[in-house]
Amino acid sequence: MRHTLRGWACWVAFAAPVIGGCSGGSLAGEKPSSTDGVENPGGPNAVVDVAVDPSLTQALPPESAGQLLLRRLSPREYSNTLRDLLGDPTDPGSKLPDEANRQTGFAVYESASLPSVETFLRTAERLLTEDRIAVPACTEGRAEPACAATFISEFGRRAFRRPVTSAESTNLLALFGTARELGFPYTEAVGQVAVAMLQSSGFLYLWEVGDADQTPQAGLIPLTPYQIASRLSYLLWGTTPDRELAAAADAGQLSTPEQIAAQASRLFQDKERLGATAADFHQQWLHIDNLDDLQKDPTAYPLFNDDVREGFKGELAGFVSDVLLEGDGTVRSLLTATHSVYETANLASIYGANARGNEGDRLELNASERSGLFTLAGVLASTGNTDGSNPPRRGKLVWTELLCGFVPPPPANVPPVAPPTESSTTRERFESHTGNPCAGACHTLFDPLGFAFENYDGVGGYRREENGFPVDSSGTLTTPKGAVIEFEDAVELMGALSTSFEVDRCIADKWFVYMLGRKATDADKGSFETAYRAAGAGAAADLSVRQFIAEAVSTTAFRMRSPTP
Amino acid sequence: MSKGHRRVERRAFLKAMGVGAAVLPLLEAERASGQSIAAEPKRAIFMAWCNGMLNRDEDWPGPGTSFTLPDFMQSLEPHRGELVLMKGLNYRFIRDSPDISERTGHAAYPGMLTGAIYASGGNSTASDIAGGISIDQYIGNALRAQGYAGLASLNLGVKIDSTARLCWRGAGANNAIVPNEDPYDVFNDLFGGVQANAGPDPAVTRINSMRTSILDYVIGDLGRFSASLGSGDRQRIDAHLQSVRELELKLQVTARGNSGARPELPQGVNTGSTVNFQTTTEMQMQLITAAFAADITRTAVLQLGDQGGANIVLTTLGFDASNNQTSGNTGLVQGLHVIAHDNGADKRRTDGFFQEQIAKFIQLLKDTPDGAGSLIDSSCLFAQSNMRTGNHQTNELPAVLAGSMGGYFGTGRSLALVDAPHNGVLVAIANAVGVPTTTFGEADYGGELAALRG
Repeated sequence: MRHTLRGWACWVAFAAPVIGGCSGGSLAGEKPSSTDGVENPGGPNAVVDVAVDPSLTQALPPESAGQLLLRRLSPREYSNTLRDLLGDPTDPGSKLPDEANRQTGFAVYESASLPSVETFLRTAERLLTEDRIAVPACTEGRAEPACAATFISEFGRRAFRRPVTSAESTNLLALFGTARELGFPYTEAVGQVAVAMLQSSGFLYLWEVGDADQTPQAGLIPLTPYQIASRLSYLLWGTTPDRELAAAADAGQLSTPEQIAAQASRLFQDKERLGATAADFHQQWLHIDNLDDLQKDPTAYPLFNDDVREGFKGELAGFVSDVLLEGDGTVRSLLTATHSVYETANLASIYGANARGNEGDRLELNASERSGLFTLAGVLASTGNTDGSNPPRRGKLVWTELLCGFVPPPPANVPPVAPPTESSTTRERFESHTGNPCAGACHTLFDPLGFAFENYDGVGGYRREENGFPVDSSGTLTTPKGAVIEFEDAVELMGALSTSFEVDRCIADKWFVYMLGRKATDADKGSFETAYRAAGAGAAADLSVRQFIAEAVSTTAFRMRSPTP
Repeated sequence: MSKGHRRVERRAFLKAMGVGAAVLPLLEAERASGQSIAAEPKRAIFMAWCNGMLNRDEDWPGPGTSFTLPDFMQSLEPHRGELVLMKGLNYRFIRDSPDISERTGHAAYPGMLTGAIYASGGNSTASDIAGGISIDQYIGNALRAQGYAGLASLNLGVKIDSTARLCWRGAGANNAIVPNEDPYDVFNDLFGGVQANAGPDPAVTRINSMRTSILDYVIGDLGRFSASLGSGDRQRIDAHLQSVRELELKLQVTARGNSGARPELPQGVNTGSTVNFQTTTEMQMQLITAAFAADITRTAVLQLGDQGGANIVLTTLGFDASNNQTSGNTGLVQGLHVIAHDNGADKRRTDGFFQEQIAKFIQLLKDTPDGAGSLIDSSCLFAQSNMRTGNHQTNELPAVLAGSMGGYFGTGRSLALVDAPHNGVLVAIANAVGVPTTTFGEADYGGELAALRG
């Protein structure tokens, strides 16, 4: 009863779910229930369209908001912020230790360890000695404390992303007095105050105190314009608000959804900064932030070198930016686009003769060999072994990250897979491993999905044969919600998944969690659904990721917060 | 804004950053100020690595004083008189931890120095898993409460590629202590500005005072911020505040100077690379030894790798770091993790490597004068691993204690213990350092392991 799917207009059968639903408290498919509408309405074997999200027929839940996450600037944000605030080009965040909480799948920095606070101190002092903290002279006729107060107010507005409170000003002026008493001349004493400000909570934490006076609306506290400005800027650009956004906050022009949407749409114009954020999301999402450490066996892959590694990094950022920012921004394009964006000629060597370069720096790939993000050579190389492919790792990536599927924890004492030989294929070796009862539980789940990518070797090159045997990349996928998809290869699989509402929901959910910095809760559900539906998730299951982000930032979940318990 | 200010005295700043001019060794300074302190302070080192100390149980030396060291422990032969070898410890905390996702040796890692049942069900790299304070912090805090003016603990590491932590300020989130993996950084912190016989430089003194005032401001700022938050968020900021306090203390301690104790580190070593694993380990040992000699701290932790060592290839043993194929999810085929899974002859060689590091550390302590003798007389080094062999067991564990702590421990012996929670060793070390302690970690796991006294 096997059939080949033609194009993307595939029909699939719903079967009873074999694996639990989406894990991790995310919205996509969490708690599959009657209210969710994801249980098969027509019985276990009814044929329904994979593109139709049963939840969409239900009433939109009311918008609300959860708690505001208190978080520290990440290393990337710390570097960007100092770059934009003081012109520091040195990427000081790279010296901060990795102490992120990754419970959501995305890094969240919550506190600061000793090596971190040392870096904050050293960086601030270095910026002072490098003359990057400009302190105007106190002109004759003005009292020094008054001049210092002006500096604190002006620098503080930019460093703290909100007006300095009077209590902060008083304490910082006292610190200025201490510096003068110690014998520092005026400008240096003020510089020392700036050094302190760069180590304070106002600078280091994305929280932006000051909403105590806001009038609650329906039990929620509206964020202040300063909070909104920071939130928008760090979400979309990964850095401190620019002059225009700061001015909008000062003018109180960031309260209504329309005002926020207008600023967001302006920020969307800067493809470079937004692209860097999109690249950061995709690197974390697909766990490929380790390309610098990527190594391949030179015997197996003589073409792999530093240029290729650099090409992989540029390729991901370029592809994502191209599809999500320049193109139509849809999940369909993300999973089916057939161009790579390469920075060195060496990537063309990985893609082979079927790829042809054309205008600009795009490389057009053979549509029968490639289909979107998950078939980019860099993504495949990062999930490949050093000397071959790695089906379970690739399968797991699709299962957990594209389908939001649940994975049981690995058992102890899993024996290794047999090493590559010339008389067998990767698939044979891994199928034999799956037969091992200890290893089988997970591999039954991942491997069939991973075998879809067997046309790609350990560096992402396309192959029709392995050791003289034809590659078999066919298989059947039962999605977390029970849809069954049969496929001949990864191109077909990706084509089918590009129309799946489960994938739409999953990608939207990943972005939502990335943006919130925490797991979504019931309170966020209305905002999620609003943005999700507004972004084109409908009968055609053609979600625009770009529009989802743009819609989400002006929903209640991002404009307000629940009172802290 | 215009750049209207004069350039800050960069040189003075850097000198201050790197500790500042030497004033007097800490001990002399304290004597000069008339404080009475113990003539021979006691110190403890905790050293840990992953994947076990053995590949076969029968190889561990039998009990008694005339034990025979197997091939992979031969490096310890010159130091046998300093040793208390143990076999039969267990990580009872991991057996008793409810709802954890894994009960194997890797997961024991975050509890090796706490001996406490886990606070959460996370895995070995979770940031909120610890069930209590780690022994180094506990001892250091207690010594400071007794009036000791140095750092509570010096936490160093080598090639830790994950967020697996040994040291904790306490249970739960935001209490992990991140070790410093860069020996050059540590050197600059502790010894960088030390010059022989230089008097206090007023510019440096001024910057040190300024820095103290700034950190006081930051502490006040974080305290006010914390007070405005809900309890969960407050805990995060309080942890940050604690780090600033630690930094302030560190700057105070190092600014007091410690001339004459500068270690000579090899230069230009890429300390993050696995090919320099051994060199970096030795550099960190040198720094701990020198910090003890200068009485900068009395407690130190050396963490060698993370909970699985998947990316550590011991090239000094001939393993090939460039042949770094991966094997499933166990990491590089020449790496410690894969070798441990194999648990054969190669495992035995890597076990030997780690025993050799103990031997080197002992030798360094022996070579460093302290009072009438050397540091080995007043110190102890406790080495443990997160499992028994490469097969992940957390019972019947071997461990090595070196150094008698001024006669507190009965050294030159091998002990056969029966199902003894390792908490008993931690309690004994606390008592030996001079921090009276009845139990540590879980109170019902018993008190000091009496057999150590001999």
